[in-house]
Amino acid sequence: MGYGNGNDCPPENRAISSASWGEYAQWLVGRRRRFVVREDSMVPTLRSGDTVLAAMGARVQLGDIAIATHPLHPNMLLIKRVQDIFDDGSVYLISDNTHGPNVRDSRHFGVLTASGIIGRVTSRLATAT
Amino acid sequence: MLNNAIALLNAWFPPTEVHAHCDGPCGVYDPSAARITAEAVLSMTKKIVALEEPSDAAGKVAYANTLSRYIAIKEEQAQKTKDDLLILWTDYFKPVHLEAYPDLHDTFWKAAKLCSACKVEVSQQHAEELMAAVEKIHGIFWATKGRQVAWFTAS
Repeated sequence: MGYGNGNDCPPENRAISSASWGEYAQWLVGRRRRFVVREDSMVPTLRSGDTVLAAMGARVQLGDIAIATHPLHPNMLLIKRVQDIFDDGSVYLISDNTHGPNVRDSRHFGVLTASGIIGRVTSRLATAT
Repeated sequence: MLNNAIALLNAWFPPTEVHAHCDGPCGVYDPSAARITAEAVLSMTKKIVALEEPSDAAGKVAYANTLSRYIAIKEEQAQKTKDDLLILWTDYFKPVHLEAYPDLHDTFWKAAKLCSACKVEVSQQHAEELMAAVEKIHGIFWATKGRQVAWFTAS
């Protein structure tokens, strides 16, 4: 899945912006949620230990970084790039570090239903120290 | 200073973890992965069969594009189903399981053959047989773990 739409996100467009004052304000009023990244499948965009802000319940578009529920492990939250959105709303998620060893994404666990996408990453709050 | 404040905040109030998921040799197996991809094969096969070719030129281009995408998805998902089944067969199942399920090898061999057939052909019958094979493997797999996990499909 995720073929031929020309929506593979080129590396130059993958950068995620640092949190602006507006983002801090959104966070303070509860419109953003804070997440810490674990593991390295989103390298170089995000490294393990980076903290991001996400708009919960927001719609995602091609190229966005989504927060999603793992389809096979419901207690695990994933952070992945949206590579394709199908007519029925299901979403194909891909890693930025697709060639890393043992990286897992929609190439392995398939597409996610729209309800599996729970948020859209809006900014990077802090980098790993 | 801001970074320090955030670092303190993270220490005091740890944020929720999200996984840029990588999978090590964790020993976690689940036939659900094969079920999802086999369902995709069946879905794509049905969509290919149902697709009607329009008569106008613009419609033909869109038709060719859609058909190509459906075929590409069907073939990839069939291959993925095969990969997932082979991992279960060769990595999870042990000789002790073969004693309890003497037709285990035959079941996987036929299921893998069905994956190949679904990849090459446009056969709803074979896609449905593949789903049935994955359901059988689902039953055997969870029985070996002493668990009752109901078979279900997403569609």
